[in-house]
Amino acid sequence: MKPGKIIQLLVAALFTVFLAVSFSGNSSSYTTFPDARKSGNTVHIVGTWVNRETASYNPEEDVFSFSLQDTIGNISPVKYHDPKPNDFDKAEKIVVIGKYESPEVFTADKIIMKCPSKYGDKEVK
Amino acid sequence: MARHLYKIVGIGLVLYALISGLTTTLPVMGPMGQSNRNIFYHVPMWFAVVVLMAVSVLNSIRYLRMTDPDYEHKEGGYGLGITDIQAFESAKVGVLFNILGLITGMVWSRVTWSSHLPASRFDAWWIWDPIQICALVSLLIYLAYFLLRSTFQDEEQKAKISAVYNIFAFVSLIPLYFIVPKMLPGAHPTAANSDAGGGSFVMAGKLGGDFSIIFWPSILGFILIGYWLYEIRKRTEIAKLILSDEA
Amino acid sequence: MNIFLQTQTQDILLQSDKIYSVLTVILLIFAGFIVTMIMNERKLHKIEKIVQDKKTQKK
Repeated sequence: MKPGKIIQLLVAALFTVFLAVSFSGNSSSYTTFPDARKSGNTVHIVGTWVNRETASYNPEEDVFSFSLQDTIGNISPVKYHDPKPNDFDKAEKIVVIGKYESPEVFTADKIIMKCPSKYGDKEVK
Repeated sequence: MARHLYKIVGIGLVLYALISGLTTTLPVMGPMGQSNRNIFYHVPMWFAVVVLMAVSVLNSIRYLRMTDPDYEHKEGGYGLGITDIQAFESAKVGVLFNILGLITGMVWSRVTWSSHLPASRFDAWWIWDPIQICALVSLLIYLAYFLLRSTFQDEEQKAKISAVYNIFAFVSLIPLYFIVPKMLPGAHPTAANSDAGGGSFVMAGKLGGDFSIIFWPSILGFILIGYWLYEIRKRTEIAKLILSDEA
Repeated sequence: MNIFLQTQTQDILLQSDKIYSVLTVILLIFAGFIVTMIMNERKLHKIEKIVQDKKTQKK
C-alpha cells in the first residue's frame, strides 16, 4: 500500500467514527418536557400543538408563544424567537429543539415540522 | 431483443412514474403539500441502492469462492477479473443512487421539515436526523471501499481484500437501513415516533391506492434502470480488461 | 373538519401550467440519459464482437 493512501483511509475511518459519535449524541436527545426541565440540556421534543387559540406572536420582541403537548401528555408553554412558521397549522406533529432557559417556558431555538407517514387515499382521515 | 426487454420495461416504468407521478391528482398531506410526490423518486432510489449493493456483494462472495483453478479458465480465463469488475461496478452505480437519494432527501426535507428557515442556512437542508446519518455513513463505507481498492497495485490482492471488505460493507447496510432508523426517534416518517408507528418503510397499509399504483412500478423501474447502468459499466470494463490483456 | 387534507383543486402547482414545464425539463433530461445509454449499447456491441474474437482465439 502507498503511504498516502493509508492516510486517506485513516481520515475516512476517523470521519466515520466522528459521525457515529455525533449520531449517538444526537439521537439520545429526543425526550419529554419533564426530563428537559430536570436536565436543563438542549433537547429535541416531539409533540402536537394544543390550545391553539392561546398562541400569539409578539412583533416587538419577535417571539412566537404556543403550547406543545409531548408524546406522553405533558403540556408546556414554548417560545420561539421568530414569527410563526408557515405550515405550522398544517403540521400534525412538531419537533422543538431547545431547552428550559427559565423553569416555566421552553425556549425553542429551532422548529421542525414532522411530516405525516401515512400516504392515504382521500377518504382516509 | 429478449435481453433488451428489461431495459425497455425500465424506461417505460420510469416514464410512467415521472408523468403520472407529477400530473395525477393526489391527496395533499399537511406541510408536505405537493412535495409528497417525491415518494415516487426518493424511495425507489434507495431500493435501487440495496439491489445494486446486493449484486455487488454476491459477486464478491463468488470471487472468494473461486478457489478451484478450473474456474479461472471459464470465461476464456477471465473469470476472476470479470467477477471482480462486476462487484466494483455495481457498487459504483449503487453509490450513484445513494448520492441521488441523499440529494432528493435533502430537497424534500428543506420544503417540508424546514420550509420556514431561509435556504442559506445549512440546517434547513440537513438536520442530522438518524436516517440522514445512517445514509451518509453507508455512503462513506462504500467510498472507503473505492479508496481501499485504489491502494493496491496487485490486481489479485486488490480483488481479494476488497471482496472481504465488501461483505462487511453490505452487512453494515442491514442495521444502517433497516434497523437503526426505525428504532430511533426522528423527523423522518420511518422514525420510531412517527404517526404510523414507524418501524417500516412504506408498507402497504400506510400507502393509499392513489400512491401505490405509481409507487411500486416506480421502484421496479428505478431498479431496472440502475441495473442497466451497471450492465453498461461492467461490459465496458470487461471489454477493456480483455483488450488490454497481452494486447 | 380536517386540516391535513385539502383537495388538489386549491393547489396552485397543478392549476398553473408550471408543472408541465417542469415535467418537460425532467423528461428531456431523461430522454438525454436514455439516448446516451443507447449510444453506449451500440458502441459496446461493436467492441464486444472484437472481444469475442479474441476470446475464441485464446482457446
